Amino acid sequence: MRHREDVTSGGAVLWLFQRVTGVYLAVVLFAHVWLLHYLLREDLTFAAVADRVATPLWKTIDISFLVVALFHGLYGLWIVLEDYIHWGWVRIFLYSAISLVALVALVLGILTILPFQGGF
Amino acid sequence: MRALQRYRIHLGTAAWILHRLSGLALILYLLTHIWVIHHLIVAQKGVTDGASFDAVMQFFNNPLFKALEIGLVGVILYHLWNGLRITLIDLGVMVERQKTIFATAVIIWLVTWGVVAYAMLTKVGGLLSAVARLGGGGLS
Repeated sequence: MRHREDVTSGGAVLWLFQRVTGVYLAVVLFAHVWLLHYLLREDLTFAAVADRVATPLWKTIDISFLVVALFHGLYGLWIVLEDYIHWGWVRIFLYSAISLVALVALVLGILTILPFQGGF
Repeated sequence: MRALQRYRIHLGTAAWILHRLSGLALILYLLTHIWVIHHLIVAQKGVTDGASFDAVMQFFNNPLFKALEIGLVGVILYHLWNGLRITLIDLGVMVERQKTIFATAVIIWLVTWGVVAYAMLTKVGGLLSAVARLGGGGLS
């Protein structure tokens, strides 16, 4: 197992986590595309979205989708940047920037999903 | 850098670079997507009929954006199947049969992309009833 630390500096746990989140994203993203681009399509109206997202189950699915997608994507971006950028302070700056982007996107996403209630 | 040395064939290296590029494209898309949807929904506050959201969705409902959406699905599916391929190789599964894994991944990628693109282009029931007909079922 130890040799994997050469591949991703985060170590085996993060290596595994990136794979597990990848599988989760594959499943939820499939459902997302299937629902919005196949089942709804021309009927993709605000009313349809509001009705669905108002339910606790979909809120849970969508928020977990948001968190996992942001983690997988931004951690992946960090892995790539880490491979090419070797100066300490630039790394610290980029790491902070990515963390900030993650936080802003997370807040924007949660503010999008949470307020939905029945009877829009 | 032992990971790089494992990619002796150029195709594998190209696929690995494409994995990173597709990942970058997808994170940029995701951030844009969150931003746009957030502002669309917020713009809807107090507008009970969902008019502005629906107008934007109507704007996206044309062949150009349909093509872009299908392209996006292709990038996602590439990243998905190639990610699985990389994971198998990282785990040391079938390392001696890398070319088989590579060819299988490409075939699965193209087939799943084709199926999803077909589903996105045909209306509800088209694909499901086609499958049902294949199975000889009277589900339609």
